[in-house]
Amino acid sequence: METKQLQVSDLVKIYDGKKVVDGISFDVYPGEMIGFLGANGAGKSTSIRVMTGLEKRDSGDVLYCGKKIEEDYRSYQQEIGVVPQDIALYNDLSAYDNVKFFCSLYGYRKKELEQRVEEALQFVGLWEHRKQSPKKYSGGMKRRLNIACAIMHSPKLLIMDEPTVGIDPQSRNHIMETIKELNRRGTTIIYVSHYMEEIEALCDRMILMDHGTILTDCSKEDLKATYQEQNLLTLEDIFLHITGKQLRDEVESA
Amino acid sequence: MTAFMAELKLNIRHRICDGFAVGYNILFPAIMIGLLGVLCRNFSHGGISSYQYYSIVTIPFCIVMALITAAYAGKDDAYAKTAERVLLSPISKGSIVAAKILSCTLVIFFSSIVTYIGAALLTGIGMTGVGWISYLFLMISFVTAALGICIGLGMKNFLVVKNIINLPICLFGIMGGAFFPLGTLHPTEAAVMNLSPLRWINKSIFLMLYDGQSILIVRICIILLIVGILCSLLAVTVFKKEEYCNGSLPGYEE
Repeated sequence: METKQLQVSDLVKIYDGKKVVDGISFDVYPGEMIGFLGANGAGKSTSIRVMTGLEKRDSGDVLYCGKKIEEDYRSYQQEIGVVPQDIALYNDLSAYDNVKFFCSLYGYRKKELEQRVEEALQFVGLWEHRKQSPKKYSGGMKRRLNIACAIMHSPKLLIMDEPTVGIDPQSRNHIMETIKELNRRGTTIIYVSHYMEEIEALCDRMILMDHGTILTDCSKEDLKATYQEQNLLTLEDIFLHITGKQLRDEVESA
Repeated sequence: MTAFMAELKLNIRHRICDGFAVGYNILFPAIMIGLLGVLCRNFSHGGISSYQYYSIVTIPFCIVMALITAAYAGKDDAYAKTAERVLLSPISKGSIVAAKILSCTLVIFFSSIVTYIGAALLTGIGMTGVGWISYLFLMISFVTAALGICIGLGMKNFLVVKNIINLPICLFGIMGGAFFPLGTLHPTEAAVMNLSPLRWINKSIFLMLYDGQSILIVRICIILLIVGILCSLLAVTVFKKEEYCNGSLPGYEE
């Protein structure tokens, strides 16, 4: 039986008495590309923050390669990469220095550090623009640099929280190709988004969340087959059918 | 150590480039010394000119004013949205806090030393005990940085904190004679004035410079060192991941 890379079991996070994440459980296997779907306020980002150890959970467990993440949090940090939803860059540093700084935090020095920075910037196609400040970058370039800062230490598990928000189709296409290539190289990817077409194009498996719980966790094919009889052919139709059509104006807790 | 050094270098760069430390500890005191020195030039007493007096009392006051800069430094990663990325890397919270405190201490200290040397050369202050005076400035900078970072890490709103901090600093400044010399006082008034740490600091500098007495300055340095260490430990204790990531500043350029 294949070893589970990440195990999330009965995860609960409560804010002001409200269960934002309500007992979610799922396993992630090496090399998978999982789509984490949900409307605004569904609990996706909070789940990610708890899974990465940025926030304490109220109950449940997160295990990485069979070990609770708290048992060896340093190793866990070395193994994971996170592309945050916000552009997390220093505008007073050049693109090169941004990647170099974040890479230094992983303990890399001198030659190896320079090599990793170059590789990451080449990979996202920003090596030519490495001397520029991200302030001068377009939205798409910033997003790509945001990815470079998350992959320069070669994480085995990459969590991407809406990495393509607000960018043009060309940049989106480039980012999608980058993600596919990362996955081909063996990186496990958890892709958080509410862009159905992206999830459909990238992921084999989908986890659909709403109101802090997991509604569906299955392969793309299984999901489509289940709802085919009801004439729900696209992922968006299925998503709206499962989660309902009412507007989600709730304020995110995290 | 690599991660700590990277954090330290970046923080020093930020403290120099954001201009607050340099502004509050070089430009502002230079203007104050010049302005108050001119206004009070007819009130020289005991061989000390108004320029010399204000050179001595303004610099410690301005170092304490840098508490606001340090509080801001405690939150600048949250404002730049990079806090999550820093926390996700394998760097300890102790290293993050230590890098912030040390960077603020060094920048505030060197700025005040530049001002002191400039003022001493221009106003003819003797160089007696300059080593102890420098050490005193270093210790005041350390306490200011540690306390400021401690406040910054725990604060919700920088602008509110800034306004609140201003009041006690100005009161301590008045009580310490930073704006006008305090003559012979009624015992009750003197007791109240003695509550200001700046009064003791200024007194110790005058005793060192004009009477060659080092006992008070040594005692104050030891007390400040202890307080600085305690504040640093407190800053590490109050450091919470969730709080470190939260914060926004109107007008901050992302």
